[in-house]
Amino acid sequence: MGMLEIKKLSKSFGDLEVLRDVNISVEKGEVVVIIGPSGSGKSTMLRCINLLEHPTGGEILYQDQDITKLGKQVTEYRKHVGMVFQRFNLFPLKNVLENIMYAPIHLNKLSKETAKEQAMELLRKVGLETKADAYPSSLSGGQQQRVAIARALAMQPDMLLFDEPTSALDPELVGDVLEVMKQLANEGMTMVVVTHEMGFAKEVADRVIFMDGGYVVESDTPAEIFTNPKNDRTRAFLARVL
Amino acid sequence: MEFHFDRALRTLGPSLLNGVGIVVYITIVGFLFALIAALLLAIGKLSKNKILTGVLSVFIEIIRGTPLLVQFFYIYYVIPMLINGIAATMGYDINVQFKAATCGIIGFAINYGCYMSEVIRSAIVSIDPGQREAGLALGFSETQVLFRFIIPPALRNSIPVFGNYLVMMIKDTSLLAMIAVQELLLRTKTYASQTFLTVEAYTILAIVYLIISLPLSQLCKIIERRLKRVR
Repeated sequence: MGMLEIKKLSKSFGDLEVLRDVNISVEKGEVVVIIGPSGSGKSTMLRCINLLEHPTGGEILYQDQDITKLGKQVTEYRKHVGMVFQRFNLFPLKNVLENIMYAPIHLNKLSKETAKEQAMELLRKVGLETKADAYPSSLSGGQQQRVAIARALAMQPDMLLFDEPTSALDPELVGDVLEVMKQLANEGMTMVVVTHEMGFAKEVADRVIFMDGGYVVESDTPAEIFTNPKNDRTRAFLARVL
Repeated sequence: MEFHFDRALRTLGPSLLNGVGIVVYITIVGFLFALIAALLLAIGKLSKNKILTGVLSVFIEIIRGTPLLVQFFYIYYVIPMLINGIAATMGYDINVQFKAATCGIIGFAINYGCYMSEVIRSAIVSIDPGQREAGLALGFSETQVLFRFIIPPALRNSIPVFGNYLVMMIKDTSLLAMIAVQELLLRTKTYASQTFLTVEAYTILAIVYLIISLPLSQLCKIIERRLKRVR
């Protein structure tokens, strides 16, 4: 039984079916990378995991509890599941340190001193300890994204969701962000990553899931998916992107 | 034609200074209440409750569709009459009356509150939805997100427009002369009719308004520039 079990998940926006019968299981400490063409539903699937989108049908079991039925308790669940967005979504009126400290202070009732210590440690981890007092607007995209990762980590989540974390970055800035993610994976963080970075998927993923048309088409080890894809659609997609 | 500006300044000046005090008092208090009303109206209009948003929309349209001066008259003359009339039919003999300055403050709070609520509402709507999602993903509730991550930047973005409304409100206090608030215009009018120094009196009045509003609008521009720089 995985830490996260997605069962028969479906999601429609009006008449548009975005997800159909998605089944995914994520083990503790596992890095699952989801690839697929745009419009395949992979971002929607990720957003369903922390209920930024509410599924139309199916179950999402987190530690054996169906989170789609949580109601207002969903805020408690979300504290355990961090999310990193394509567009970083840092708080523009708060500096880097405040961005990271804010949620732990107000939600986990950490003292200012403890929160600050922890934030500085996280900044060292993502290589930005010199930017503690900077405002997001003065940082590059890659730096902002690393701050966003630190912000998510500050809540000490059990699992991190990454929604195309490098898609909004200039190519030369992608490396730093992927490096931080790789480090997290090596430390045993449970991660679900939606990305177009095939190199990252090959190197870091424990499992790669290929989605298309709202379905999970194929789910296997990176070695199998990239060298020996079983499905025609997977093959066609990889032929285009590799 | 002969002018007596020095005499007018000497005799009208002190009276106008008192008037400035009243104008500043009504503007500050009225503006604060208008801000509160605007925020409440804006939040109310963003609610998912169709009845609430409908009622608020109608109310805002009524206020925006009628002149401020008419609203002052309505609050000063009509509302007390209605209250007393209703009380009388229920068997109570009361005589509610509002002080003219209070009516000014209430009128400004409602009228400017409606206009400024639209400013706040559009500022709230224009905040990047990613801010909401980031707040939710960290574990904040919808209400917490609204008050911690949406409203503060929205208010900040509204500050330059608020500044314009503040300057407008100072000038609109002249309407209160019509319900006998001893503000600048009424004092000048009385003075001019007693002394026949009409040209002098009204010229001084205009200059006094300029002395208040010009530096204030300059200040607004400086604040606006500074706000842009920080972000």
